[in-house]
Amino acid sequence: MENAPLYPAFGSGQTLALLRDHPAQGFFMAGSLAASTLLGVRDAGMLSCSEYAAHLRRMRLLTDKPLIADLQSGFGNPMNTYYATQELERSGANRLILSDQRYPAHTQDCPPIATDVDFLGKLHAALDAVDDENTQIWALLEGMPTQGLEATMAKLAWVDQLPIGAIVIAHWDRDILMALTAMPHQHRLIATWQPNVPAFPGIDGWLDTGYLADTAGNWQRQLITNLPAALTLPKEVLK
Amino acid sequence: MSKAQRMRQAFQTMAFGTEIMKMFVAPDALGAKIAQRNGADAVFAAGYATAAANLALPDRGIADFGLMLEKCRQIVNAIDIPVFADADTGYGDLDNVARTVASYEQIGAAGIFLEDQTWPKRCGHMANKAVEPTEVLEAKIRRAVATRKHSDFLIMSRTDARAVYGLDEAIARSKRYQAAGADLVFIEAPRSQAEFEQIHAAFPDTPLMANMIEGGQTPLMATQDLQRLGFRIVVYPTAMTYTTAYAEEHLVQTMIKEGTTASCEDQMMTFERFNQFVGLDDVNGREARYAPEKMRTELAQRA
Repeated sequence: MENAPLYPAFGSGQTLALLRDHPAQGFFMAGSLAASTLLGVRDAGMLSCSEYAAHLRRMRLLTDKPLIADLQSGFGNPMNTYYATQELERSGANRLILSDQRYPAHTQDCPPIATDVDFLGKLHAALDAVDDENTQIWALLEGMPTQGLEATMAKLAWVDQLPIGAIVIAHWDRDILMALTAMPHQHRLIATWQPNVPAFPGIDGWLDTGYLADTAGNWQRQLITNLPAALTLPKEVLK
Repeated sequence: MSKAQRMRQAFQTMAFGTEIMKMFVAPDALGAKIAQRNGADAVFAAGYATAAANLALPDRGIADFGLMLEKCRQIVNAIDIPVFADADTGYGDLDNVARTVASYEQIGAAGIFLEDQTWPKRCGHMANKAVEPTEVLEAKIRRAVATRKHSDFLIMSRTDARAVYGLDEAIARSKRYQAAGADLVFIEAPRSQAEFEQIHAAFPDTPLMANMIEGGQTPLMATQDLQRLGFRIVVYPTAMTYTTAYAEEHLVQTMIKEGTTASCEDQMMTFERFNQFVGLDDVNGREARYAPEKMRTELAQRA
């Protein structure tokens, strides 16, 4: 694919309202950013499905473009994944990203990974729960830091056989992407995106995880240092 | 076709059909499931029951948009028959109406009604109601119609003018609301069968709703009589709330007096039946479908 779409991430209505005229093909409501907006803690695993879904429903009213929802690790076991998928789809999700993390899916660099048995059950549950034929389940592979390339390649091979919409690769480096994109696969491969990442052959899309929020947060931190704690009257006024 | 589409179409078909639609107001998702399993055509998520079940307060405009929407959403998700929603006054001005319509449509409601009372409103059968000038609800209905994404998300006008200015004014207002785009018409609290006849004569081809509230201003009439009078929708707004409250009050009194609930057991669903009713077998079956041993076998086959 010549042009690999970038899916910007958002967590607040303010960000999505700013984004909605952007020509992106869809927007990703990252669980970590939603948690940051709602709880002040940038950790997806702190949000319950119902809290995330309520926020998603409000965001849904801001745009008709596809919304990519964070199904995290299914919010429990495969049965929970089934009901969470229903809840997020009817709350407006067009794509749902199911992570292979263990529940609860905290936002971290080296997340503990669920067994393949658990992940397969959750993928089936999510696929079974979908009501609209246009809704897609995307599988997010986060096991690179803890399981390594070989295990990730083996997982990609069987995940690719399922009727999902895409496979998202996180915690990657260039060698990892080269190895994974070289594997035979039928589904789109999407990689998490950071600023200044160049296009990569075989990567069909890029998933932002918080560029706007990070940048805005840096600005806010700088501005906060200039924010006075109180306003003092000039001495001449006091006289 | 999504569930929301199916529900909207089913409601529209019934509203414009020949048989009267029997619609129960359910205080919550459980009540809605009971209504569905026992023959209701549709469920109405409405203010009196929501205020009572969630706030233990009267229907006096205290249950707000957020609570009403969430309660309706829970009911929509629990059942497979259409859910119509009480959107009160639209919860503010025209911008609020737009958000209200978009939100109810999003959660899968089959339609809403908007009314012309002043806010905070009150139950249509309570004393001292006040209504806005007709232009207010006219504008809200126009905005609602312009906001909805699907033409089969039906908008009903409700007027409470009968109690304030009399039936002629209520009919005149409803004609203006219909001209503004209302698909369905509801004149709250007529006082007699003759008034029902007058309403139907004024709207011979429009789906009309009758509200059967026990102890209210309107005489209770049988469903078949309302159908004969030309009404297409009958709603029972308080019966489930009153019945639940009566039964629970009796239960607690008995427990306090007798020190046991044993004498009330024959008036309860049993543990087994209740678990079946709320779908325990379905949930257990769902879990078993993804059991580790099955997934292990599948993984081995995929390797």
